[in-house]
Amino acid sequence: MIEPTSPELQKFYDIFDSVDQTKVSEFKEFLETNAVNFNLFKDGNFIERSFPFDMIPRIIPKAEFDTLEAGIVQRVKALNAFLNDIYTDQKILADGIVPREYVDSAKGFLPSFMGVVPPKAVRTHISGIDLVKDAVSGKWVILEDNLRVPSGVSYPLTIRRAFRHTYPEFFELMKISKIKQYGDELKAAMDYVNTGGINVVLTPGRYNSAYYEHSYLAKITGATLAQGDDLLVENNEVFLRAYNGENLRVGAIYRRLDDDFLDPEEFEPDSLIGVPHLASAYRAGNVAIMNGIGNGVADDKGIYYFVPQMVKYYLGEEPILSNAPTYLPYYEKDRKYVLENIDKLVIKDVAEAGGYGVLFGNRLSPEQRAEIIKMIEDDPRRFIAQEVIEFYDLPCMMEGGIVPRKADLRAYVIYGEEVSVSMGGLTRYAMEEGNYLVNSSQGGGFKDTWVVEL
Amino acid sequence: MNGAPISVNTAQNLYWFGRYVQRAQTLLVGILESYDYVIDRDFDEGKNFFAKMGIDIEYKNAMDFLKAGVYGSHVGSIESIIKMARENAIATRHLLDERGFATLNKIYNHLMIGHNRAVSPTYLQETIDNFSLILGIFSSELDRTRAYQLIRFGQQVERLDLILRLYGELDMAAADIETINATARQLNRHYRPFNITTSDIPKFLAFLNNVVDRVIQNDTVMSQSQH
Repeated sequence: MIEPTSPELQKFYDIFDSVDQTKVSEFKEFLETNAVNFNLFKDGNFIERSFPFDMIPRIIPKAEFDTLEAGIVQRVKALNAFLNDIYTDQKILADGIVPREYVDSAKGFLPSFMGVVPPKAVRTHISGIDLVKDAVSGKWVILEDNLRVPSGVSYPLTIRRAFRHTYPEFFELMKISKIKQYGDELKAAMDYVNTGGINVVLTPGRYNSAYYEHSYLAKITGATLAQGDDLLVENNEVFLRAYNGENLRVGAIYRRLDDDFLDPEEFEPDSLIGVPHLASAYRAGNVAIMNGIGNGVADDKGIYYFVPQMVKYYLGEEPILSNAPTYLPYYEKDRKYVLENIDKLVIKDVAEAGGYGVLFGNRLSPEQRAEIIKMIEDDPRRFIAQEVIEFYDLPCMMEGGIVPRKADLRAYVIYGEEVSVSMGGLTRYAMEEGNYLVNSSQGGGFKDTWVVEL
Repeated sequence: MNGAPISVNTAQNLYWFGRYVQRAQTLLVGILESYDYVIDRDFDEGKNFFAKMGIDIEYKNAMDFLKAGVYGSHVGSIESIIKMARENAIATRHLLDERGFATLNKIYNHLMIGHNRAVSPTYLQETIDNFSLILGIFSSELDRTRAYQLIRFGQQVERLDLILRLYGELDMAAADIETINATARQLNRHYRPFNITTSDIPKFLAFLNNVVDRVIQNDTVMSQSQH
């Protein structure tokens, strides 16, 4: 079902009717000429690919976004508090709000980092919160919290600039919230936790799917873009190997690689993209790592179930935003429900991300159904089940007209001295009608997101 | 305004970006000049031109020469040089002028879709003009960031390399060596200038690589750490 047209969206259409519509093709040309890519690996091959873009933005009325913003800030504060608690006192476990075994068995929980308190106690420096708008209730629902290496923010930032150049009319005639300050806010967040030294964006390198974003973030923050072998650790301090032979102390690292690859001495020994002994420097408090090491425990799909309780526990507030109705097969009562109603649920493997490991019960063959039931019975902690949310389609310009496509929203949150939500975000849409998987790694496209005040 | 500190990997990418852009521009001009000879004056001129770079090519006529020069499967083809220039540009795009990056990418995209078509001299001339634009952007006197100095350093080294390969006269290189020394001193305060001490060009070209290593120090960790 397509989202009803708001007065704000109607205003967009009215302006669009009056402008030169042939210029829409300029966006595609802009993305190709500037190599604004989200690359894919397919069958072992590296494929450079422009990120498909649809020019009709998702438009969120300002008042609606204000509620979203408050709910997202609340959630990220609670998640940061949870991480600080889990890696120190574990009060939430002692108080029985989150079952201990859920944390202990989470893949992203790293007991070897117990007791480590990062600079300024910030761990969720940059979060990507995925939401959809429920077509039944009309309310926003949280689907996922991405607290490790959320990507995508560079695309709306890049296209917004192109949009302003191609169609200035929209920005002259509509009151659209600005997002340009994201770079300054990110830099301020880096400076806030910096332990003394330069800021670095750590990238796995040019063949990472989001390399465009890594270089973009280095550019807008003025940080040095570095690969693992550009950094070295001596006496628990991190240095950049500058080209002229000098070593420059590094105070904050916005890492764009997962924990597993961050430090071959601590994690995956075969990692060629990490920095040996980086974890030791982090433990010693000599460098801020953004996002914190071990954050994976908080965006585990199983832990997601408990986030509303975290909000109450740590902040003493009622959650402003809701989770999608979720069941944990780990609990006997939930498991019984899941197994009896599997046909109408979405089953998610907690260890997967990027749209992988997601099964729609109503699309399973009898064999697949039997197989997944057995897997749930054998290892209930590995799965969660959610009611299928009939989230809104958005209008997309393709196939020579305007067609409905499922779309979500990734909101970006920066946790520095303050917690701020970017007044826009990345709207991702599925390329095929009826497809619920909107992830970029599944071939989906993107839209800009405009927060508009009439 | 020197910008953020530059890592070894990025410095090498910037340096090689400068070299490949300079190489592409010079070879494009050379190919176009040779083409005029191949048509009706000296059929072997195209072969002779590439032979100076140590590359053997074959062609049946002037248009075929253009195709071999642009798309041939050898390291001196325009396609392979532009691919390398673009790879280095992508790796360093955060430090590059957007217009320069987009122009290079446009050249690359155009090249990629032209595989099955004849190469027209007009297209080559347009590409040369676009490269002049790119070189102009990165040679801007107003911009003195380290990144652009590294690109210019690559251009200067490539220019010297090409002068020696194409004209074979070390005497012609004195002014270029002076320029390289000046840029290198700006880039690395530990750099010591060099002079020509041999008349053996291959030996000199090998020596030139050591000069580059003195500016971009890949494996030296020096003691004067800045805290």
